[in-house]
Amino acid sequence: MVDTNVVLDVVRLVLAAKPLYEAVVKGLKDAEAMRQAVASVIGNRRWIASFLFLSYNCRRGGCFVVDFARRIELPRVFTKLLLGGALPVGRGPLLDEVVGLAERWLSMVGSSLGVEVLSLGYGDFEVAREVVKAYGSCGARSLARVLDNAIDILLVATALNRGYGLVTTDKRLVCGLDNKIVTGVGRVHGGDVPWGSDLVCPADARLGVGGGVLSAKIYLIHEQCNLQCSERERWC
Amino acid sequence: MEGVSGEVRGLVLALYDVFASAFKELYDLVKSFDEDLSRGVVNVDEYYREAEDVVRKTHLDAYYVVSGLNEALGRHPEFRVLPNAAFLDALYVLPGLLAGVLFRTACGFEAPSRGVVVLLGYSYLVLAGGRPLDAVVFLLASIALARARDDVAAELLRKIGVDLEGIVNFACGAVELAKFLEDRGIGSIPE
Repeated sequence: MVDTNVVLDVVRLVLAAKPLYEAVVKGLKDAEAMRQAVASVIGNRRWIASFLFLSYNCRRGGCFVVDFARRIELPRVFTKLLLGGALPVGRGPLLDEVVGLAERWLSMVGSSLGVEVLSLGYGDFEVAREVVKAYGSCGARSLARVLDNAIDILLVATALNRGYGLVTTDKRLVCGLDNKIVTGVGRVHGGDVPWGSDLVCPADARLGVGGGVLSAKIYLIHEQCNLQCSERERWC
Repeated sequence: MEGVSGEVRGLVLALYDVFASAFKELYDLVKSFDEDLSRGVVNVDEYYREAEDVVRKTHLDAYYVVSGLNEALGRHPEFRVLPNAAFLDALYVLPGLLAGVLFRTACGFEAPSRGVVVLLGYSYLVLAGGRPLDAVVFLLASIALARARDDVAAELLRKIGVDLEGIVNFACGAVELAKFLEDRGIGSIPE
């Protein structure tokens, strides 16, 4: 799995070149736009490094930017942008598209793992935004690191929004299983934290959604958690 | 350069000119390579070794190429919108930005122009990334492709571990992804 941030860097470089491209192709003589385009790239050699890194990892024919990123990374990119506040969470064609992309991605993951995947909706993104704030107040990780796992947060939010008392989070963080995607949601019987409260960070999560209040306890697993998961304990 | 016209063609040719004329050794290498291509006799191993020599002997980096870039583009009135030499110190990564422009340009074309311009874009990108040997190889491969010698271009690129088809697909995939976002009103992605 390629880090979403690396994919974003590649796209950032191409996006940043647009004013310069338009100046050449369309004859736009907007010097200020040009100056800003150059300034946006200065100090961002990481974008170039990311582009080169991914380019050299691109194999014959099935280049992942087309075959992989569009299908798998893009839902994560959009979700990250939505939950980070870079895009507005509001009803409309963009959100519909994000929901569709995310659902297809989750469906693919779900069927490959043989688990139930909840369908997504507008409200789930609203809840997810609140969960991000809750994560922030928890202080376990920086906001940037939280947003790196935006899809996981969306899953958490979706489950909460449907009345699940507790949901799992990313197994990669929990069990350190070498970046395998095994994220999912599941019901935990009894509402108890199965792995001990010393490993979780309880956050106050009275989430205001659509004029109402959704009360739930969110248990955030510390990144340093050394929980051991067997192959059969899919959801820990 | 079929399919490349107008100001874009001018820009592409000017960039070739900047790269090749920045240093005499590089200019000689490109000239000799182009002549051999015309005659149909190119020894890829030999040119790769010569490229290594040029890079060893020449202080070829982004800063110096940007110096030449500013000078050469200043001679083209149509490109005066480009940042001028006053920005030079701040333009160390301009080649990276130019790569983005060339990728956008290239991916609007069909083959072979698409590949020709993508490879030229990569020559600037890897230069900005501090890999001058790769930059020279990409430049030669771009010229080979423009001369309809896909086999020579592919063989050259294999020397630096690059697959021709894959890297063109990658660049255009990135452009497609960027346009996908732009079509939905996303013009930049915050850090």
